[in-house]
Amino acid sequence: MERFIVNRIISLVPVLLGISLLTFILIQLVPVDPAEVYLRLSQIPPTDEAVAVTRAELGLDKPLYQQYFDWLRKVVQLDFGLSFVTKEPVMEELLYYFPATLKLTAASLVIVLLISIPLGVFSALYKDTAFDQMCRIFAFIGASMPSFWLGFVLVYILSLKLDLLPVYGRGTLAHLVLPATTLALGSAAVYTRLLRTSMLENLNQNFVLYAKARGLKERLIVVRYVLKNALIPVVIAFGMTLGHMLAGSVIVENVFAWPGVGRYIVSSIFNRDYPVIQAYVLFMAVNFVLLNLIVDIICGLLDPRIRLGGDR
Amino acid sequence: MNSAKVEKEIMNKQVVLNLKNFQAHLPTKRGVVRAVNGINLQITQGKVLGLVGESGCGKSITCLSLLGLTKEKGWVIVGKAQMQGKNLLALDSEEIRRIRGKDIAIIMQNPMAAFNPLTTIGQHFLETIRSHLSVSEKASREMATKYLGHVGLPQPDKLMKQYPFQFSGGMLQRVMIAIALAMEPKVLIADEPTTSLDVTIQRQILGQLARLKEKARTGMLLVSHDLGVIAQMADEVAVMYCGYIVERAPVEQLFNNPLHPYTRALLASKPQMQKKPLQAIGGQAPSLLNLDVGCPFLERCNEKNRRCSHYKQKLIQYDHKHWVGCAKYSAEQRMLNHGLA
Repeated sequence: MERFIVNRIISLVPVLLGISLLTFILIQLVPVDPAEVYLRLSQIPPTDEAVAVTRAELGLDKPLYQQYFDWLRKVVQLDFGLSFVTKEPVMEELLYYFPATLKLTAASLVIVLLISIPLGVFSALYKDTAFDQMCRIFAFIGASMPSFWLGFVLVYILSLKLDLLPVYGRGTLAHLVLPATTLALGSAAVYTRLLRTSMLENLNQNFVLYAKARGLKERLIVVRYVLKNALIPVVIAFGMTLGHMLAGSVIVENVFAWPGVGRYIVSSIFNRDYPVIQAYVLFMAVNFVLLNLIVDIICGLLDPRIRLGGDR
Repeated sequence: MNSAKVEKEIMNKQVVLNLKNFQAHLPTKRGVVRAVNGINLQITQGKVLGLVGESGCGKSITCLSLLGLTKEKGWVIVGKAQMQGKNLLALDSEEIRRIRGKDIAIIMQNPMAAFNPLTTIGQHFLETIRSHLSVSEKASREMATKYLGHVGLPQPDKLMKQYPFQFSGGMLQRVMIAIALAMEPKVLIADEPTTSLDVTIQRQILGQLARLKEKARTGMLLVSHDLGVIAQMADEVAVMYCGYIVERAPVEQLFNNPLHPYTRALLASKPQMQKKPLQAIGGQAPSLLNLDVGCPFLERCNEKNRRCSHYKQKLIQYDHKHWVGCAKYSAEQRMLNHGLA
C-alpha cells in the first residue's frame, strides 16, 4: 500500500508542472496587456511611457521562458505576487477566503453522506416500494432545483417564518446549516440515485448469491458484499464533486453573504486581477489533483485489485 | 408399490433430501413461467444423483429455489423438500439461512464470479464458518487451512491472505469445495461445477468430489449438461426436460438402455470415438411460458404417435429402478403392443 501511494505521489510531479505551464500560458493568451490593467486599477493614465515602466517593473519585458521560470520560482515558495486591486499578497488573500469555503464544503460533505448513503442503500434494498418512490421523488426535486431558488426558499421558511436559523453571516454552527444544506442537496440527490443503481447492480452479482448460499447473515452480505463494492464508483464521482465544491460556489456564497473563494474570484475576474486569477487557477488545479490522489488511495484501500496492481 | 413401502425404502436407503411434487413457477406479465413442474427426487447418503438436461430446462432453478435463493421476487414454490423431517419450503428466513451452507452446501458454476473481489479467500472461509458455528477466530482459521490443504491447495496459510483475483478458476473451485467440505454438509449441490474449467482441471475437481462422496458419505446432486461428467460421477441419473423429469434410472441402465426419446436424442448428440456425424436434436424446447397440455417433447420427437398430444407428463415404472415419462410406455400402449403381437 505504501508503495502504491508513493508511486502515485511521484507521478503527480509532472502533472503539476504541466498544470503550472498551462496556467502561465493561458494568461499570456489574454489579449489585454496586464501592465495596462495594472495602471488602470491604480488610477494611472496608461501612457506609453507608463506602460513601459510598469512592464519592466512586472518583468513583462523579459522573454517568456524567463518570465515562466521567475514566476515558477516564486510559486514554489508560495509567492503569487500582489493583487492589482488591493496590493496585498495574493496568497494571504486566498488564505483568508479559503477556510470559509473549506468549512462550507466540509459541512456539505457531511450532509451529502448523511442523506445519500442511507437513502441509496435502503431504496435499493426496498426497490419499488413506497419508500423507494419517495426517494426517487426527492432525488428528482433535489437535482432539478436551482440552488439560488432553494437557498431563498430555505431562508424564507426556516429563517424568516420559523425563525430557527440565522439568515446570513458566519461564526456558529447554526450559520453553517442553511448554506451547507443548499449546497449539498443537489449532490445528495444525485448520489442517492447513483448509490442505488450501484447497489442494485451488485445485489445481482453471483458473489452475493454464493454468499447467501453459504448461509451468511443478510446484514453482513449487504455491508461487506454489496455496499463495499457499490461505493467504489460513488467515491470516484464524489472526488470530482468535492473539487467543484472547494472551487467555491458563487451562487450559494452570494445568497448567504458567505465570504468564500467563489465570490472572491468572481470579483477578481471582473477586475482582471491577473495575479489572483493565475493563483486561483493553479490552486484549484492542485486541489483537483490532490483530491484525485485521495480518491485513488480510498479506492486502493477498498479494492485490492487496484492496490496490488492486478491486471485482471 | 404402495406408499408405506416407498417410505420404508426411503428409510433404508437413508434418503437425506426428498423432493416431492416440487414445483417452481414465476408469474409474469406475459404469463406464468413453469420452470419446475412437480418433480420427485431423492438424494441418498453417499450417492450421487445426476441431473441432466439442456440449458433452461429448470435444473438451476430447482437447486436455487430449494434453498430460497431465486434472484427474482415472486417465485411460487410448491411441494415438499424434506430433510430430517423438516420441509425446507416451509421454513422462515432465519431457519433456512442456518441450513444453507451447513446442511446443504452449494458449489456454483463460474467460480471466478462467485467470490467477493474485495475480500480475501480466508475471510470468505471464516465468515462461512462463523455464520454457522460458534468457534474462536483461531479455531476457525485452523479449520480453514486444514480443509484448503484437503483439496490439494499448496501453502494454505498464504492462500488465506490472498484475494480472488490472484487465483485461477480451478483454484477458486477448489476453495468452494473446501468451504463446502468444512461444514460437513448432508447434501452437496454441485451446479455445473466444471463447466467453466478446462479439461485437466475438470478431472481434478471431479476426483475431489468423488473422494468427498466416499469419505464424508455426503449425498450429492450433480447438475450438468455434460453427459461425460454424469457418466463418470453419478450413481443414478434424472433427465430433465421443460421442468419435468422425463426419465430416471441407475447410470448404467440409462446409458445402455435409454427409454425416453429425449434421452436417446441427448445421448446421440454426445461426441463418440467412431467418427459418426453428431446428431443434433432438431427444433427448440418449447417456452416455459404457458406450457401446453400434452408431452412437452412432442414437437421435436421422432417417435411420436397420436396419444402424445394429450399425454399428461408422469413417470411410469418401466422396471425395478427405471422410470420413464413417455406415452410409448403407458399401460394402454403396452397392452396395445401385446395385442398386436
